[in-house]
Amino acid sequence: MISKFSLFVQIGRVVMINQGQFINKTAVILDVLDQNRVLVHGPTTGVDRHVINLKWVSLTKIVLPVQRGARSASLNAAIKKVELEKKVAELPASKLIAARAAKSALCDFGRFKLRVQKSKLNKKVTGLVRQKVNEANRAAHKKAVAQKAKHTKKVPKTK
Amino acid sequence: MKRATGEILNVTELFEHKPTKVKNFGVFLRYNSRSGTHNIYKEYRDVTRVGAIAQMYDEMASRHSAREKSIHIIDIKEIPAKLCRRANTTQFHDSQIKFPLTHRIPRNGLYKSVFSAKRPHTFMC
Amino acid sequence: MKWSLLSKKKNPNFSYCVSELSYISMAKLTNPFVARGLRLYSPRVFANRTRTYLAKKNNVKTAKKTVAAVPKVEKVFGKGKRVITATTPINAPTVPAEVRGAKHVVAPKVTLRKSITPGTVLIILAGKFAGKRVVFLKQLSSGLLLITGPFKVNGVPLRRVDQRYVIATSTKVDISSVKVADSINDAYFAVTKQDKSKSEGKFFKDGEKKTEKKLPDTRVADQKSVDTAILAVLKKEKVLSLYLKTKFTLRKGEYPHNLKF
Repeated sequence: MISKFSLFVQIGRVVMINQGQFINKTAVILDVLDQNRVLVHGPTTGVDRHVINLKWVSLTKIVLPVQRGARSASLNAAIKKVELEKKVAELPASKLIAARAAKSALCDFGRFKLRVQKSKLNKKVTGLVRQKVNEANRAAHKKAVAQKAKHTKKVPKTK
Repeated sequence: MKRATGEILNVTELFEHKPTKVKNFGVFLRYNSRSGTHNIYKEYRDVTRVGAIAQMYDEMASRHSAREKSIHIIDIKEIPAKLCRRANTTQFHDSQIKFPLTHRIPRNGLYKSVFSAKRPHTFMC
Repeated sequence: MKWSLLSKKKNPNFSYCVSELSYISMAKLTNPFVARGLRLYSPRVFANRTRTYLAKKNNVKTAKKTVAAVPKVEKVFGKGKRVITATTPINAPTVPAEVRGAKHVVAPKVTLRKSITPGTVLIILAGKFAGKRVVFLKQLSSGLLLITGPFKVNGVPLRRVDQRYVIATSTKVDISSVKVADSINDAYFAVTKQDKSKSEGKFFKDGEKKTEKKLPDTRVADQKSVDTAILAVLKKEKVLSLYLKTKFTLRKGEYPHNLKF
């Protein structure tokens, strides 16, 4: 059987923590206690080595080559080797978090400017869409007229 | 604890020597069911003895409807993987362990809306 | 009897000396005994009632009461005579009236929130202009904030608002070039009360057309002079005037306690 899953709970898997004290931080799975809980550690992100419920994390596509229950030093070395920070920053989840943070950091005027930009863009998009639709409608209409003309030619009407 | 059951002689908080290392714990206990007394051996994976005992109390309550007062802990031991007997513990004795998370329910907290036009995606590949 | 309160010797609890107290009206001076050794008011409360501290604050100096030599009087008692001291009449006015009337004139100073500086864009929270974004000009002596829309941009005229009814944003308009005349002060905004009493003559006049209220020309002129200067600044940044034009509202998923302003 071919599995559709590509993300697994495994030793070395980098996870994004979604809840609690270490929210929006990444950590590495170092051991699996049972099907619900894992031991994680994020020495570079400030996540203590602790047990976390898998409901609190989301798996990322990054896996580090570390051993089960690896100590901080070897974990640090592995993190450095693959330049984890860069890879994490490229994750869609991190981008989402960064975008949310940037949005919530906006002041009133910033929010207003954003809204103005957005409405401008939306106007442009709707304009373009309408243009395309109109073109398509016109073409369809032309075609229909042509077809009708062709049809009437074949069978001329008699009075 | 009921007064007739016994007397508290000493209360000591148990601190773990290595609270960040995952261990296997074997718990020996005796409990009074509705029909008689049973000796039980159970295994748990945890980082602390206290955590293992907490798991035990939860499990005894769920599987046997046993309350704390009817459970007597005889012993708790950290046991090496080699000597573990229960399949539920030995299945995690694998450094190459790998399993997916099926049926994930997104909990967005702050960004959660009560009503949504889309059904949630529970399959995260 | 009441006189005795003023004497330090007789009432050791009473810590204010006579010269300080003497200019305050007698009615306020009583701090009667409730029980032996216990007075109705604490020294602090009593000080607030008598406002003795004003003497020091307003630097009121009273002429020291010159105690005239008590004249000795010969009085006839029945058959004999005795030399006794004359009693001073109770409630004798000893204090000059103008000193007694010294009033508390220190106006409470309202400290401006740190986030509000000249040019800050404010969001008005209450009243007719609730939700409007306006420009803060200066704080008036009463502590109220002088603001303007500008009127041409969002219809908010030169106006006073309390800083409690305002959200200060971090956006600032450079109003260093704007000059607000000193004549625009609290008195400038004071409302003159109109005669509302309905006399008979007025009653019959009700049917007549009421004269429309009209702003004095000075107001219009002042508004114009302030606004033209601000508009010149706003012209440089178009979005800013658009920003001032739009009302503030909370949108979906926006919670005021989570927002940054």
